[in-house]
Amino acid sequence: MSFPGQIEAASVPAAQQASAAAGRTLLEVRNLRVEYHTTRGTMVALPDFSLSLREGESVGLVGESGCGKSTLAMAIMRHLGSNGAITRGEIIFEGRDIVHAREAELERVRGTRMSIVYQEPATALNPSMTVGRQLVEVPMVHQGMPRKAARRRAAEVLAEVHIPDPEAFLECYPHQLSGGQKQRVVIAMALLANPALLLLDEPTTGLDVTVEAAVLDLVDEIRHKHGTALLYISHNLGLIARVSDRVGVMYAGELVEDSPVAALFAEPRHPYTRGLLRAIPRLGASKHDLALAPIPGSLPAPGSGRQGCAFAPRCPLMLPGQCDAGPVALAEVGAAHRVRCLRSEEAIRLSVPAPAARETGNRVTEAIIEAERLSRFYALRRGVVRANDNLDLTVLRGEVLAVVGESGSGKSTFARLLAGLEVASGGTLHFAGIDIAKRTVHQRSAEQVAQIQMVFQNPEGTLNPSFSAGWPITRALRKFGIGRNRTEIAARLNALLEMVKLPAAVRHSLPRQLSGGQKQRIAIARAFAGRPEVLIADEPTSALDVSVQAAVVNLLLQIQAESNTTMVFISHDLGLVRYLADHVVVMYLGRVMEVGPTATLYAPPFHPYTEALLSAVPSIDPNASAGQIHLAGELPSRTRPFKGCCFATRCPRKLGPICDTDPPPVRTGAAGHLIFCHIPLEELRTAAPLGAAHAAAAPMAGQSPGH
Amino acid sequence: MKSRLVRAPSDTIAGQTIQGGDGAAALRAAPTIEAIGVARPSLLKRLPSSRVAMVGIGIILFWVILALLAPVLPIPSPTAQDYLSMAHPGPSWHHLLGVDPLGRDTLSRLIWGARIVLVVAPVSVVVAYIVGCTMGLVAGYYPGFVDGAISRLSDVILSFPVVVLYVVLIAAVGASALNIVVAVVVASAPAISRIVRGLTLQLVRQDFVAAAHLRRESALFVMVVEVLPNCRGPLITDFCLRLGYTVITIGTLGFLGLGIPPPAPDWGGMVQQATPMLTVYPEMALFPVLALVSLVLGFNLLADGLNELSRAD
Repeated sequence: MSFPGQIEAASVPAAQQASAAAGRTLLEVRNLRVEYHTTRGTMVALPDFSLSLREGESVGLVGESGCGKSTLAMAIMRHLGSNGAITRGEIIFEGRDIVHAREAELERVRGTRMSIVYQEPATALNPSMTVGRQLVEVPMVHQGMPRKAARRRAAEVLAEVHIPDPEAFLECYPHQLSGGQKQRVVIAMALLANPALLLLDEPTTGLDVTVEAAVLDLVDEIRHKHGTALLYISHNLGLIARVSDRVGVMYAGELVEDSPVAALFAEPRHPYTRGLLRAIPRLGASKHDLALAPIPGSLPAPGSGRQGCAFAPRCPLMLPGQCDAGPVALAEVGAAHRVRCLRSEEAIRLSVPAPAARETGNRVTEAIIEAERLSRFYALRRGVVRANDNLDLTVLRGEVLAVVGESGSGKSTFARLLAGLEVASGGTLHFAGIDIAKRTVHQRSAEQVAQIQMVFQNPEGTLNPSFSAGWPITRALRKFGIGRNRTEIAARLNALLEMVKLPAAVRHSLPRQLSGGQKQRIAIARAFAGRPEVLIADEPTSALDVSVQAAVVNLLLQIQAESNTTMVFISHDLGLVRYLADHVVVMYLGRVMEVGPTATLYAPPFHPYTEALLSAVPSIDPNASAGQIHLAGELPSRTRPFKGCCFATRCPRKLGPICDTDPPPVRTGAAGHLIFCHIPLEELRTAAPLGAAHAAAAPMAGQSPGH
Repeated sequence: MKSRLVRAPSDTIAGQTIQGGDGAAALRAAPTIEAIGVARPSLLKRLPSSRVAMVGIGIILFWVILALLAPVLPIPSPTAQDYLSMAHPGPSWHHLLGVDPLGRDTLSRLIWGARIVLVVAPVSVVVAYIVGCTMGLVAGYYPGFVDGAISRLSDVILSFPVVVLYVVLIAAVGASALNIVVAVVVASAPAISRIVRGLTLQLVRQDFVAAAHLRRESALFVMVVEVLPNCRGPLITDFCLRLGYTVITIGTLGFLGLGIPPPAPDWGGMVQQATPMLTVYPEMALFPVLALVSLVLGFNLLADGLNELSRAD
């Protein structure tokens, strides 16, 4: 606690709302229609969109991918590209008509009054120029500042985004920076113009939660310091809850709900908003308490001719003859709360937390996988990367073990060692009594390979684009000797497809015809072809929309429970892990920081790292952001050897030199809860309990078994 | 307000929620309603939509048909000498495109020469592709020593000027159709290998290759079945371009006297024989040059069209 600056109190949302109450209209989007011309005809991305933003206000826009969020940001910047066009409506920014502005005038507006931060920081910076040159250009071009003054200004702005030693930093090339630093530079670039409006298009997607939390704090700080208005686009409702005063929910290019943030999360009125909230796992709840409810169906293709409410085909409250009859208007339902739904009164009664899912199975405490001092080192020219460093862990038969940590923590390496895609450098890994640590898939028996299967992270790469969806499953069935002839294999294939709830006809489809969720289902069917004992799921849902994620997670859990498969679930999403895991392993730099049963791990005593990870998770409860712990910096160099605790360099609760010199002892808590830390258990227990999210979720958990 | 949210609607409106009563049963019942997308037709089926590609195909087909019909067309033998027309070798009713310095009919030699080019060029490129793809797949699949050896060998071959390489090779083994094929393979395979190696390096990192390993597929299977088909996009374009280059190569070799040995009709050889007469009878060299140019243009246009189509996504 003796390091001020590492811990800082986050802003309170109430203050945000107060600041936004006043102010003139800054941006007005009226009846905007945006179309894209493609080889396959015209697609309407935004049919008729209206939105207004006051000075200093922060508006969040959420929706599934493909709902037109980014198109809106691009239209406001008039950066639609050669095949996009605004065909109707107007965008008024500070009294200027953006739609009809000349290019020179636009340049002036973009450079001085509004800026945008894109999703991919890596592509926003020119890799062949130093950060300094790229930053200095902005005030030189837009404000005609002399080079020296521009350079001073650039250094000031870098200091403002909390870059240590900005002068030296100006000489860095983008490849020398980490992802979080790049995003800071991009934000600094946007700030150089001192804009009145900052558009943020998924600025933290792809960053670790701890880095994301720091970027959010930065955005918040900037906003309060300069009174900048924000339009924050994200698919993550938790993020939106943290940064916005007002939230717009988008669906198929339309605003379906528009509300102050507190009202939206307290009482969402559109069935789609309710569906989104229900699909998100919460930090306080597990699979035994609540079910994740997917939204059935998928987003309609842009421009598909329809009448009435776009959400009607997926809506549980859809009234034939009314909802699909004609366009639905946004109607006022509360203070500044508008919703585009004919049945918003009934929607209140749609439950947000879905009812309880399933009973706990009878637990057998038999270890199926035991890792002892398991290590995987990579020798590089600069030194040795200890991707996995003396891992000790046990997986029980039939349980779900989650492995969590930031990127670079070695969780995927562990998955690949277990699957036999890599071999260990040292230690043992016993599977059903046999050491498989040093055996690749080709050195393992066919049976052993069939018993440990894997579902991968990226749905785009998981299926061979040249073959039909059924092909890998058939191939796996043949290789594992399941089904001796064509008819048996075909029957088994159909059974597997049914298991993942896909129609049998899907086996003839090519991967490019399938959505991300469908591809992951095929991948799950493929993994289950050999009737595995252990399924490794390496972030299988991190690339999917929340509504699809809910469906895939439910499917995995259901199959896992029915077939009594052991699941090793790799994830960086702590809410999701809380939901589905029985045991959790927290990893940092290839080492285990904390192991324990899920419920125990998510309550004090915490390892300081776990505590920091948990407090960085944006919660969908807007009252939950009290008392945040912030990790200073990012992962240290992975080639650096550690004598003491590898987390000591970033630890907000570091005791002193002992942390740098001695390896941390293990502290044993209740029910096999292990914490590797120098701080005694008693003191770790005094950690501030999780924010209000935890407390708020508790009554839900308590009530739901009643149903 | 919170308590209203928390309490599930088990009373009045429960029937309308997608959850129904029992959570687990509802999960099982929820099917995937998501529609399965419509496939875009394959590259070959979309080919007619590219005008450039169709013009290219037209030119190529023109020569293919002429070459196929050569034995039945009313043209003289490509090696028959008409001594009478040597006095006036220009185009006439007897010899529509004139005769060469030895009195042989130019049109006939062009058509019979097309037969040679249209066999030797594709055969050379196909063999070069077999060798180059093998090298590239192996190099991309086995990093380290194997990759190093193959890549360095490629570098050495690619560092020779192509024409010098051809002259050295053909001069060493003698001029024949087979040796032209060998020369083209030696000169092109390293370039093809580089393309395939680069694609393989990317593709083997994809998860579907890891999934194949988790089925214990052999290295050969992964290379040929999992990786190679996914290289086809860039390779199809390169194949057409390379056919064009090879037509030029065969012409060059013929012009240098290293092509198909006389008296076989060879376009490059025809240009060479006509060169001394260039100032007197320019059409003698012009017609075989035009034939060469048109065929190369045909292949290049087809490659352009394919490239355009594969980018139009």
